[in-house]
Amino acid sequence: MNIPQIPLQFDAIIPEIVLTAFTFLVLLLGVLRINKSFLLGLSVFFLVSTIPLIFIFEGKAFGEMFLNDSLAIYLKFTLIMGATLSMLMFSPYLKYRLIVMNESLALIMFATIGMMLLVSSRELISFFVSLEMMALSCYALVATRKYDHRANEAAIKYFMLGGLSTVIMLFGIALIYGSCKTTDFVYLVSCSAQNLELSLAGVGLFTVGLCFKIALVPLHMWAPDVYEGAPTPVTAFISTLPKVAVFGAFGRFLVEVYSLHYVYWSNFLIVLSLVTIVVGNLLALPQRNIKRMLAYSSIAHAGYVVMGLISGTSDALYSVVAYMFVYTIMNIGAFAVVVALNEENIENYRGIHKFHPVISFAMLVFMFSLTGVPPTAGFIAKFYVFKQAIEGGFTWLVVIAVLFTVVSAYYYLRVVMYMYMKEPIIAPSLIISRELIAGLFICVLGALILGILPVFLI
Amino acid sequence: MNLEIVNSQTWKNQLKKSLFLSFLIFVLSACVILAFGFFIDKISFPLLSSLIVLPLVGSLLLIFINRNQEELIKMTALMVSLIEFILSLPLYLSFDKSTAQMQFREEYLWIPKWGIKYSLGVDGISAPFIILSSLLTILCILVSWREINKKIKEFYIAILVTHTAMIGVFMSLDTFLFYIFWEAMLIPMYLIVGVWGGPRRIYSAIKFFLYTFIGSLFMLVGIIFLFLYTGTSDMLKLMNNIYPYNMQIWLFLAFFVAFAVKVPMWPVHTWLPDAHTEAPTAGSVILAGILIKMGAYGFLRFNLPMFPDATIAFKPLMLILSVIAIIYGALICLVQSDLKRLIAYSSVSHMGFVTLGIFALNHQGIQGGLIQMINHGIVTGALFLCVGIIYQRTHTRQIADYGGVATVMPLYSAFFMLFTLASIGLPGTNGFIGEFLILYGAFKAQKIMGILGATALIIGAAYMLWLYQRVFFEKTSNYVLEHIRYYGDLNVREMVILIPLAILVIWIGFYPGTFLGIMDISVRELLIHINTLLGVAR
Repeated sequence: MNIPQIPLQFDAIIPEIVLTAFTFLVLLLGVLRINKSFLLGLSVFFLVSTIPLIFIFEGKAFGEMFLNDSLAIYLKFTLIMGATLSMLMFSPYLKYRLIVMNESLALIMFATIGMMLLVSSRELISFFVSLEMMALSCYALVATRKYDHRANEAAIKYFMLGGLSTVIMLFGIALIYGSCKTTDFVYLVSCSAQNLELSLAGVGLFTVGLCFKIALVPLHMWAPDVYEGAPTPVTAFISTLPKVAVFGAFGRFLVEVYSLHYVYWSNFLIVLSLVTIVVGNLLALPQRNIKRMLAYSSIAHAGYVVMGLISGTSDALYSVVAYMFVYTIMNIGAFAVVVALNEENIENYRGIHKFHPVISFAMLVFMFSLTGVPPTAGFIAKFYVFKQAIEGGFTWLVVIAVLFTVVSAYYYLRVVMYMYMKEPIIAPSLIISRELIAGLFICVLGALILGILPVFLI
Repeated sequence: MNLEIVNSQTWKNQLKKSLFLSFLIFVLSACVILAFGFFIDKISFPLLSSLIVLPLVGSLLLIFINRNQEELIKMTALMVSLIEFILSLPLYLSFDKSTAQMQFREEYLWIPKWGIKYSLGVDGISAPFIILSSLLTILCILVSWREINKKIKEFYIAILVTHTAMIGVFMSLDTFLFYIFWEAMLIPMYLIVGVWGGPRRIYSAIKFFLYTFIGSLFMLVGIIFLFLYTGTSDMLKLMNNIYPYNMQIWLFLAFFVAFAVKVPMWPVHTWLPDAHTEAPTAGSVILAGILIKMGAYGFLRFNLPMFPDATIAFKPLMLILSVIAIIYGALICLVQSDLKRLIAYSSVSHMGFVTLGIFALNHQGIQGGLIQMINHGIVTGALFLCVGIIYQRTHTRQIADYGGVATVMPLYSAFFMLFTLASIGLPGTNGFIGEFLILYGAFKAQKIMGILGATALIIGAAYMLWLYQRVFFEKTSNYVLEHIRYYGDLNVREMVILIPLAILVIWIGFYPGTFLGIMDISVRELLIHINTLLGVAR
């Protein structure tokens, strides 16, 4: 096998390089005893300052291996925005909870770098490496509170099952390589006709590995436990952004590389999305713990996203990406409220509106947005996905999805119901900081404004 | 006791002062806007958008008012709703009655990639509801003045936002926009029922939300399907398309589910009695007055003009469902022991008349259905207001607890009698006009349906008069009467609430031309449109 000469051209990867440098800087500065809020502010500044770089350095790097095109830019923007928002949510934990600050900030940034690379990678090995970079950082993030048993248990679970999925995925990659003798997406497209069974098996295993990461039923078992056990800001992070990255990469992989095999994987996805929507929504119904409830709701949302992917057009890919953008805003927002209220049992949310009307209003917006009621952004996202599915001819699937959206309304509205309609028993004590309020404000504005003027989304 | 009387005295003085003030502002702005109303078609002023935006601006204002300044909050909400009402008057004053075209058009590109437009306009079918909605919102705010005493700020915000969403539904000419308003209305309404309602409010609120939500989502599927099939979401263009028969059937059903839940038609009416009963008075009035009209309006905007073949195919079923709703609703009213619940079930019956008229598919039927929608909004709204007024005095809705109210509240009894008679459909009141036209239309369409529908009028008279007898005459229960005597007969605010509705009842009863004139040409055009589409299809 001859190794092709690749021109060393790495303009497009500059944002990632810069962010890596920033991350190391944060790690180093953290060793010095500097003000933790300052460190947080600095990290947020670093993340935000990467955004213009992404837009500037559009293009390819290392031949075809790294691609920073409009879709990747969109995804990276989502990722950095989400990482920034979840970082802002860490701020109350500075004051009230034991948490190793500089390391968790650095881990978030490392995970973000991994996700950015994942979104751009056009080659299986770099795909795998960046996925692992993301995953390992996430495992460590879950365990940032050293003496919290629940968090440690969650981290172990996450790590073990994540490792298993990695192995499966690696096996899939090996099979693909075996059948096509290449790992480069550009060549995979042309080779996919030969050795059909082998490459299909490879793609199947690869897909299974990815489904693990985005917690599609029946590979969702780890999600509720991990989401419940992890510290809430971490939950917000790991329940949102890895999904954004993996969905982006996964969607591109299927739609752009394996478009010839559309018949095979679309049927596979139909089953997956149907089962995920049904199971995710039904299991969310009896939950008493809001983090568990949001975990199941995020599983259900993954089902809707897969539904958008089924039609397999490039527009379908855009619908997925837009959905993930909205999902990032509303999910992180909902978790931000949970962080602020410092309470996981939904029944203890009774009458919070009486004491904290603004926070309750924020939660109201997020809950309706997650349900998909206009004029919130969640509706636009759902509309886009449903539109794609109907365009692909899956009206029956949309009808089922719609029925389970009604089921989801029940458990989302229960939170609103407890906050607004029940009489309070005890006044909850907020843990709050300026940064958190700022993040919450951005999320509420985003969920409302994008619902009325879907400028970014469509 | 004394202290309370003194308090109520000072309160009354304050109220008089503020009412006088508001009256003054009202008259002044009325003069300005009336003058401007006649010239509105000469100048290009985005009237419909400003109607939509004004309550939102008002609720933004409310957000910034300190929650302790309750009077200020109420006054602001009242002022906003008054200005809104005056602003909605040009819809009548400079309405061109000689055309069925959409008027006061506004159109901006909203989502360019999909070609979805922010497109507003009214015709004779929708204009009256916008005015009615504005009027009822004022009354809702007035009636909640003392009834709502927790989370006051949020309540008035919710009322104003609901108003925006409701009039938005009647104005929008783009399916996407229509759907957004249609659903947006659910959020504040869910809160109004659930937060400020009666004892079983949470159950009712969730039931209301889930029922309507499930129907609307089917409509969403239909809307997306239509959008993909035709490539446009413009309602006027969609109306001129001809769809294959099979598709028409499915789309008709998808839209039918949404509208039937809202109307509500039998057998999906069960959310209505719960929601109406448990909602605060203002919520019941909005629900009965405007919200359930949106369903019937949807039939006229979507099902009839877009899917005429399916409409013809489903006509017998629709007529049967309507007649079942009419008779079933009326019979259930006979056994109700709760005032509000009785009126709620009478809504089922009355809305059955509306759908009967609409699906009779002739000029009289549809026009009767429309006028009946307005009547029902006025009369049932008024009845709910009346119940609210007496509920504030006694805190019971059980009919058995009342008796002999006429002896202590003669004025109130007179108003109630008027609305009762209107609800029965006595000639001279507005109820008669609507029911007469509907039954006339139904006889022309299907004799047996007309006959069955007419029998319900007798039951209607029975339950309403019996209700009146049990509450206002008969035995005198001292405990409740003591309470009422303590508060006295109607006060100024309550009179202000009931008088406009009473005037409307008699006005429409004697001169329905005010409203029929607006609707006439639109209804005729609608029928011509249906017939041409049917003709083309054959």
